[in-house]
Amino acid sequence: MSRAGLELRAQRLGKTFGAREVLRDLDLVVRGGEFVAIVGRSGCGKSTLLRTFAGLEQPSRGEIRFDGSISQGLHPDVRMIFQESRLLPWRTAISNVEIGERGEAGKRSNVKTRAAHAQELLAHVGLGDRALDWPGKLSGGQRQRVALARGLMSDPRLLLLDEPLGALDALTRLEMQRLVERLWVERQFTAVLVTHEIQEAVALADRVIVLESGMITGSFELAMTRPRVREEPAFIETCAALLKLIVSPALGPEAARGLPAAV
Amino acid sequence: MRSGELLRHVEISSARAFSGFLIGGSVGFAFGVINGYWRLADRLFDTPLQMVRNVPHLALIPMVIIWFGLGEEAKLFLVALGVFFPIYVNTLHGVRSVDPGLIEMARVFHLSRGELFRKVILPGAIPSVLVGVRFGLGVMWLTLIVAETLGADSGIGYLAMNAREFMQTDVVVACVILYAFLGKWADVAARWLERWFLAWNTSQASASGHVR
Repeated sequence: MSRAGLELRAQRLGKTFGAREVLRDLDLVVRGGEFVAIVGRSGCGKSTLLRTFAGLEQPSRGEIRFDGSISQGLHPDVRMIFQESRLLPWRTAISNVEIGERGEAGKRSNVKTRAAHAQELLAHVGLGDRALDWPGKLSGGQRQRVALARGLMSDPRLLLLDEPLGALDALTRLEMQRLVERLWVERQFTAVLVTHEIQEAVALADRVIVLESGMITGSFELAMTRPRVREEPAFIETCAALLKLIVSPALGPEAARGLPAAV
Repeated sequence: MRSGELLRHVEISSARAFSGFLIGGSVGFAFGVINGYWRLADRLFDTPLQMVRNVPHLALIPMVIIWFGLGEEAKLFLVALGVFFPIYVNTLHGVRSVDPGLIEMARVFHLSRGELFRKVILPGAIPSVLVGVRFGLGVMWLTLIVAETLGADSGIGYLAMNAREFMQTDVVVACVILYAFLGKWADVAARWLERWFLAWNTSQASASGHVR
């Protein structure tokens, strides 16, 4: 089950919508198995960047490579989790998870193993007993759990997370962060998380990328041990330093030097 | 009136109504799906269809009589034409209003075109199609009543017209009541369909109340 994570390499990536330049000359390498968080204010282009990685948007300039080969749009080993769960309301939870199983050739395993696999994943995200419920009967957090299970059904090598916890309440969000971290540790996929929550980025990521007007203005390795404790000084200091950087982008790389040494 | 005769007329009327409904409904559904799915088809067909839609279909009766005479075909044609539009318009609307987020999800999960259609677009359009079905059922009975008063020799409409000639008010009233019951029966059937197809929709109970 542990296929190695996919390496993502974006080179001189640019995206324009009409006259509006959303991404400019962006270079980014995400190592296989790495957890990268992209933070930035709304409208900084972080969602567009993720959608370009997913193949939902075509880059206007530059290229994206997965494990060295140029991306041709949607990649069979890449899955995306959206802010809204985007479950099919007319399918039960388990049947929604089964939708996620699909290889490149479009081949599906037989119905029995598929259902068993889906049930196993549902149980894994803590919803084993809700398999036959309609999505309409699940809470927002539960729906995102189903969406996560669906995203993992094909055992993807790169998981793109577009503010998947943005619409959840604070307590549910903490719970879900732990779940995402656990799944990532177990399955060793590459993860790219877009979020506006700095704490979330610091809690989950190996590296935090700061995006501002379509450009990367900061990149910070976080070496804190997992699971990370929010009450620890290093955690709080890192959050504060990152926040400062995002709120006053003029500081640029200078502020980065102000990050605590322990990080 | 001999016993059993009434039943025979009800059967004939119902058969006409539902055959017409099936023909008009399937054609309307097919056009709705095609025009909702393919932009080119929509450009080609929607304008002429909307032009025909704005002609009251009962206004075509003289023409229909010239084309088909007074036989069964004329009645079926009128019912089918009447039922076509509510189903066409609602199917089109249903296909178009499927959440684009779900279609995007289907792309990310590499669903084939066929799967996209079967698993996302069609079920997404069903609630709207069923609204069309209920409207269509109403139009179906209305059209049939009118069609059966035109030179028919069987059916409830014929019974009523015949009774009028002999001043049998009781039979006329009975026919009207019969129509009311048949209409109600069709509506119950439509509700049953909604309950069956929309079991997933938790707000279904409140949504189905106001379609008329």
